Amino acid sequence: LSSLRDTTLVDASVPDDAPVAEATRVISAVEVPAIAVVDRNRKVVGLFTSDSLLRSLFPAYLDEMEHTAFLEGVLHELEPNPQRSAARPVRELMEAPETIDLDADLSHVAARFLHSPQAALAVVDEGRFVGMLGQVEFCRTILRDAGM
Amino acid sequence: VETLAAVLFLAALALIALEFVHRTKVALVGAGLMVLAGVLTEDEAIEAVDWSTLGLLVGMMILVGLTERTGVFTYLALRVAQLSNGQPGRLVFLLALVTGVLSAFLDNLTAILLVVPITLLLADLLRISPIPLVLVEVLASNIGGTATLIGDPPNILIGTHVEELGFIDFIVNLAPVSFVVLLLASTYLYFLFRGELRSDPERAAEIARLDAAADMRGKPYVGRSIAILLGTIVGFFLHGPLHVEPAVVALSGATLLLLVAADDIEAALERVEWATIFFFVGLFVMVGGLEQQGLIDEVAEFLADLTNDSRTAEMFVILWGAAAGSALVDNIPFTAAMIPVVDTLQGDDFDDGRWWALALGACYGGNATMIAAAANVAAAGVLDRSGTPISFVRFLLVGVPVTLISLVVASVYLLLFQI
Repeated sequence: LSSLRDTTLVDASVPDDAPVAEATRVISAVEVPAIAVVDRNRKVVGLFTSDSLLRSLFPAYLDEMEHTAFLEGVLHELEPNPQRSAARPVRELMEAPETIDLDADLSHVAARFLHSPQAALAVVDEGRFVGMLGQVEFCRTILRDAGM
Repeated sequence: VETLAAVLFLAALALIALEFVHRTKVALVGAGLMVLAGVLTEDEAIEAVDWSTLGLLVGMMILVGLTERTGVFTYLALRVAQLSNGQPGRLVFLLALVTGVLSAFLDNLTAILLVVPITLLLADLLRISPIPLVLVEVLASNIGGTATLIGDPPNILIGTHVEELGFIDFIVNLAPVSFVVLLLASTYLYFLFRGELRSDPERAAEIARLDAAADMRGKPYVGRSIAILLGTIVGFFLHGPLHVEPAVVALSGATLLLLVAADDIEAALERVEWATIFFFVGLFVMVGGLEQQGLIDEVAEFLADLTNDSRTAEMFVILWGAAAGSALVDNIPFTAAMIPVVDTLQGDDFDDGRWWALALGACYGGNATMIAAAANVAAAGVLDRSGTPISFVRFLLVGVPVTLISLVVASVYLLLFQI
């Protein structure tokens, strides 16, 4: 294994104007914790993650609070709002794009994972999205290649 | 060079007001250009920085930031909200009071970032719109912050610049008028919003179910943090008799807290808002440039001519002018520029009346528009991210009448007690 060209990438992306419902279907069907949000030219403009999904379902102010233990008694009242969430465009909820070049060497990929808040990176070739790479899959491929 | 200094400062004010670029970048670029263009020398630029202001800001950021970790402010806000029994009308007055008091003794930006998310939750539980309650809090934070030397950035600038004015002077001269303004503004806002503040009595019970103390249980250093914060506030009251600057009090409290209640110094110092500190540094250098070029003296002479050297007229021009300037730009750069003007106007005879006029005008002017004070911008940001944005015009329609009420009360106060 010498580059990401030898790994299995997951083709998981949605256009930036897609609704959350579509992004939820895509992220649920794949084994990576984030999918790419792409523009018309397949450029990665963000990542849709399980955090994005959670934030779309529950009140956004939960994210603004430093303390939340006091909510215990009333959590049942803060109902998720699936209808409103499903219709929102993913661009309102996506995280910053975390990308890596298809030809990056493996130590560079490892460093990107260690410094990224996400456990999956969008792999790009000449600026265009080619697939998602999960951290676990990346490590598993290296171990498998070493016969372990 | 004089014209260049004026153009650079006015351009910086415009860019800060329009928010195209972060205000800290604007201030630092403006300061750098002034030094490069020879408006002031490097030594003059360093001398222009008011290190007492920076010390007070850094000390308070560490103190408040570390104490906030303990959950005590959340506890306080929730307990006060629970006193409303879930009645939105009562909630207006209680939230105004708690935000006003927290703003006076912490700072208004911290108070807003703390109470607004809690208010969004309360409004959600009561199934009412959060916007009226958040507007009440923003306006109360600027009014409450006016009451003390540490409550609002304009007061910090004035209090650290004018040696004769101590913490107690601010309380004695500004707290009573701010209390009256807070009461009148809350009453006005209550009548303005009462149609939007009807809630189902069953929903009200949910507020009582919040476990206010939950976040404090099991947290380390709760007692020490509260004791040191309270001790620092007592220190502010005593800084005059002890002949110690407020900055020294704040930094001593912060150092003590770092010693006994911070395991990770790096994480503790992350509580310092460096963008704000560097904004002040850039601003001090720019104002220093205006002073070096004699522009401040020219503005002071213009004001003296305009008011025919009448002290009363000067005070009213400072009050209403500072409010208008703060509303249009941002009350921090406006106050920083006005301080040397007021210095020149008072000459060799110390006159606290002019300083109270500036403090009242700059702080109350911060309520007129969404961009006039940092607390307003922060609250609008939280509302926006929470899916309940407030428009510039809606803020204006509420903020301007409250500002006018505040300025009329301040004018009466100046007439009765300062002239």
